[in-house]
Amino acid sequence: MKVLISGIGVISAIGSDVSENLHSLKNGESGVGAIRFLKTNHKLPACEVKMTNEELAAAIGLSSAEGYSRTTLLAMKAAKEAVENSGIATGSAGFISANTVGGMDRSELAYEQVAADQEQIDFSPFTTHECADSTRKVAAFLGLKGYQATISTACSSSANAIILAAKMIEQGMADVMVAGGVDALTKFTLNGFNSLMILDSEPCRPFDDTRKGLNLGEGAGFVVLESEAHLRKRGGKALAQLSGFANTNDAFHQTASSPEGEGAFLAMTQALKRANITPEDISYVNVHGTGTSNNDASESQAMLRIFDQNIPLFSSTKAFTGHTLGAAGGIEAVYSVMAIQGGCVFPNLRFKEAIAESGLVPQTEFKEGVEIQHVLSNSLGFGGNSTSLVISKA
Amino acid sequence: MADKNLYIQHSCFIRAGKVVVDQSQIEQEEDGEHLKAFLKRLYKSRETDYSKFHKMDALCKLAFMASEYVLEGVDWKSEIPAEDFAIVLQNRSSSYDSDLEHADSIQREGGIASPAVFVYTLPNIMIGEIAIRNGIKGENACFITDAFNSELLVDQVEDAFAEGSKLVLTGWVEQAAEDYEAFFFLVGQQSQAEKKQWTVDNVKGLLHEPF
Amino acid sequence: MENLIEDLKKQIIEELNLEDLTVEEFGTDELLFGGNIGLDSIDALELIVLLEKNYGVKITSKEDGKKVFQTVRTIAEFLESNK
Repeated sequence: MKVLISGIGVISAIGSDVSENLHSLKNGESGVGAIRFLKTNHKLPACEVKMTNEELAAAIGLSSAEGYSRTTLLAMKAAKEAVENSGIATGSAGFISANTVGGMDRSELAYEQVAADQEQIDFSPFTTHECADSTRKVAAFLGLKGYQATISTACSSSANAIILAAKMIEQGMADVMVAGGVDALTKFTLNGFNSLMILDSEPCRPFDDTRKGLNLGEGAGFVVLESEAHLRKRGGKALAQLSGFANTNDAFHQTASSPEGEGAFLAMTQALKRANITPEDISYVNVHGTGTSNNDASESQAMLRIFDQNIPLFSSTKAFTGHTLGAAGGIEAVYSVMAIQGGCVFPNLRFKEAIAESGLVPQTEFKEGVEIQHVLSNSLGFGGNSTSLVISKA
Repeated sequence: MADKNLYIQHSCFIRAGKVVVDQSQIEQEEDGEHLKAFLKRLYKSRETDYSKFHKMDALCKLAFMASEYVLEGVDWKSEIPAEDFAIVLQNRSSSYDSDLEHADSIQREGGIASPAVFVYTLPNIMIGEIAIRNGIKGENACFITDAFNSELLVDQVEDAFAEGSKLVLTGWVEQAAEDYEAFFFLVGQQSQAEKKQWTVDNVKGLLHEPF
Repeated sequence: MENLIEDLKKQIIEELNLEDLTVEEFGTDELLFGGNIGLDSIDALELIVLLEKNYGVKITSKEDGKKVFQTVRTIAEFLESNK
């Protein structure tokens, strides 16, 4: 059974909806900059969504942001756009969302008070801490009453949320699902990634030989997935088809990818197989491309193993959005649909020189007028979790 | 769609101070023994040579030991490719202990985050540890649920087989401070008289056995 | 220098959870990475934190870390020269 994508929604450092994101991607306007909203001592660049929590609440018609984590507000904004874009009746639709740190942003604000061991502690902020809190709140907000789940597999989380939703539709367990993921920037992740020494103190340069690390970002990206029969019956319009996907494990190291890119290689190979296409059919690869020395080297090797000398157009959009962790797969699935719809490939900003060992050169300029038949979107996570999606012309 | 010819090849329960493998108790917690000491003793008792074990957080150690017991003597590598071996886990508290330790370290005055702690602030790292240890490269997922959901687990495992997996390591691994509970099942297609079928009823039945 | 070396060995065993290793067995000139001790990239980062916390010395890049963290002796020499 065909799984079609009938709606997309996104919020990131380069825009609060699909059209703003497209505008920035077209014009090479990166979202990286000094941290404005998160309270931190670190002077590191990051890709924050340029809206306060109150502004986010107002944008989706809530009277106040009180009681909501930033994670939830970001997810509400993007999921609402995806649902409205598709025109589905939400009633029976399911919702599978992903994130890595849940309502950590709100917990951190309350943590100092608890750490100081005050007598009157208000524990209410911690009720939004767990990862599933945002899933529940978004589903309630949009009236998505079907099956609900939250997935956490590090940086491949939201790609796996999309896979689970697609499988449910393929197997007749659901007709329509909203799937994707979200993460807000937090002290937790900023300090953690900093301790791993994989944050670049300057704007990141994915796939460049001189790359020094990643910039963290925040945002959310969701797609509406529908069975072909359901879409036809209601007279909806397909934006694209989710034609293949796969999830594998690199089985190498908790935080480092194997030198030969085994996990990514297996994920891409199996996703192509499932889509019943060959590597030559791929028009564009939205690579994971975080900008760390290890990821880009490893992913390059995986690409060479699959495509050999016929490397398709490829780029990492993380130079625009930063690495949005649990949201990355969702945001990049939305970008993949946008590439198909617009017949375009987004630039890999700040690339100058190919990695010496692999020599791969990404697309560095916005390219229009390309026939995009199949997009491969990679999401690779800590724990070795490797996921690839094939998004195709409907 | 569901493959009904799936069988529980091996099971392991580590809970309430006991280790039960294939329904026989093999180890027991000593009086007053803390979880970490208990897990270390289990590790030592098996004469496993895998020094990375000591670097893991308690959640991973628990998952690691449960996987060691379930996979003991299983020569899957000669039978199936690594990418046909899947792992599906569930838990409730995610990586709570390591989250707390990391949060503590960065909130302290002049605090420095420990990379070795941060690594474990993701629940799916336990899958990574098992995958690294055994060279398992198939589909892998970690579901966070309020309570153990046998329907979800049975569905997910059936689905993994429908997708081409030949063996699935699956179960529940929960740990927060001294509260812990792990049960693992190795599910495959080999049927033998003593092997239970992979069904919700059989999983629930095993869970409720008095051990 | 000898005291410093012994202290470093203790701290490394403790902080990096090298449970199967004792101070006596820990060779001062033994390679920390790639040899018997078998440290990995996360351990290297943890060593950076250890030196900052216990000795107030900052190593700001992985490349510097590689030079300093060859053996316990090279770490001790680095600390001596940075007093």
